[in-house]
Amino acid sequence: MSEPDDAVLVAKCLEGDTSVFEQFLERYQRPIFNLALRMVEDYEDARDITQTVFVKAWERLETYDPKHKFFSWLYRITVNESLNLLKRRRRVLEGVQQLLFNSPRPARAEPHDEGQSVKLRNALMKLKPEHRAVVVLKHLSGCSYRDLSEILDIPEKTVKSRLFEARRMLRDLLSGEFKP
Amino acid sequence: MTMIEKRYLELIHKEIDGENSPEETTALRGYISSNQSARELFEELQQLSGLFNQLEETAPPEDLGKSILSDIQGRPDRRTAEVFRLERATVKMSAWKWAYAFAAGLILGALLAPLALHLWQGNSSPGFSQLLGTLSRKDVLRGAAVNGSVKGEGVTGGIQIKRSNTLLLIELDITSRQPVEMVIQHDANRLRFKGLEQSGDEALYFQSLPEQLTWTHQGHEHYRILMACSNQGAPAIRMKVLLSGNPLYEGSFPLPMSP
Repeated sequence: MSEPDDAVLVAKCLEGDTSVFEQFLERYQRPIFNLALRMVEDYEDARDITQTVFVKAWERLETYDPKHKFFSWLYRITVNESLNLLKRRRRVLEGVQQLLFNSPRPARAEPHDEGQSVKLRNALMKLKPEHRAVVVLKHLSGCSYRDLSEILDIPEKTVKSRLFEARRMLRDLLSGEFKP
Repeated sequence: MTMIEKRYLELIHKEIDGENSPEETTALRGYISSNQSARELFEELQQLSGLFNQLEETAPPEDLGKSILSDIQGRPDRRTAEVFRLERATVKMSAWKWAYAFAAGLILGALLAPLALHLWQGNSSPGFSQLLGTLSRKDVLRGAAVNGSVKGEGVTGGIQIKRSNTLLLIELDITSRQPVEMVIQHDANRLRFKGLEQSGDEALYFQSLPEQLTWTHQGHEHYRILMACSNQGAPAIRMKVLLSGNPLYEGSFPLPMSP
């Protein structure tokens, strides 16, 4: 039997059947957590963001516009929460971090921190958050240009130019990694 | 080194993103077979795209789902939360919106003045609760006030509390070197949150529960918190400034007597 789609679950939730919210958690907890993790590169911060995203989604479910995809709405909250956290963190930590380490904070408790993956993650953290968001959503969350436009609230043309620019920067940062 | 035409540059990126139509893919293949720079760029972007496949998904913390559900269950009903947000949005207006509200209030005041005069002369002046809105803040400003200071490790500031018969205005001027959590605890039977206004445009995470207000703070901000208050006695409010859950400051402030 196929799972009910998001619109059906949202409608049930709004009718008062709050138990269906657990299905949203099962469906989206992992992708939301990974999107947040790639945005902020910190396991605990990604956990906090994921929690905030679902709590906000719960509180604001009435404001969700079913014309859009539900996951786009969740991803938008995730990106905004990540950008907010990065802004707060930037003022407090970035100055010290740049002076002392000149590298992003390492992620905690992740088992596969080796080789090119680490280089790619470090390169991602050197991008502007707006550029990082578009690359992560495209390459890791598998969003289309249209999804990206909806999530980031920018025209598709801007999505493309931002994505192309982000890739140019990543190619520069990872120039040693490509085989001729 | 050969140049890459703009149209094909876009098609290369779209091909990597899986957004090309079959016709566009065919056109691109023909182009890169005859243009070395285009071919090299396409291959580099393919490798870059392949690098992302090496990034493995990370499992969220095992207790995260439970923690979210528990958080949600401990919150007010979604509709209640919506009302709080509406109230907050009403009060958290930028200066120009206040100006519009003030102008509208003046016009409304002029229109209603004859009626108010009539009611006053008839010794049946309307209660303050009926005048909530443009005039309410003015009335609060005329009320009695309590002043205090906030001082903790890395946190300084001042607090002023004013009240009328039905409203309480808490003005907080806080400076903190670090991102902290502000907490105001109050008696839910006597005080009810109406709105929060901040001086800056720093994003804050704000939460209103029946007996407690919490929000994130960093740097210097001036806050105005408006609460509806009952006329029974004058309970104190309790204020905390927390850093990662640890208190940097804790204090109680008595509420002024109603005027």
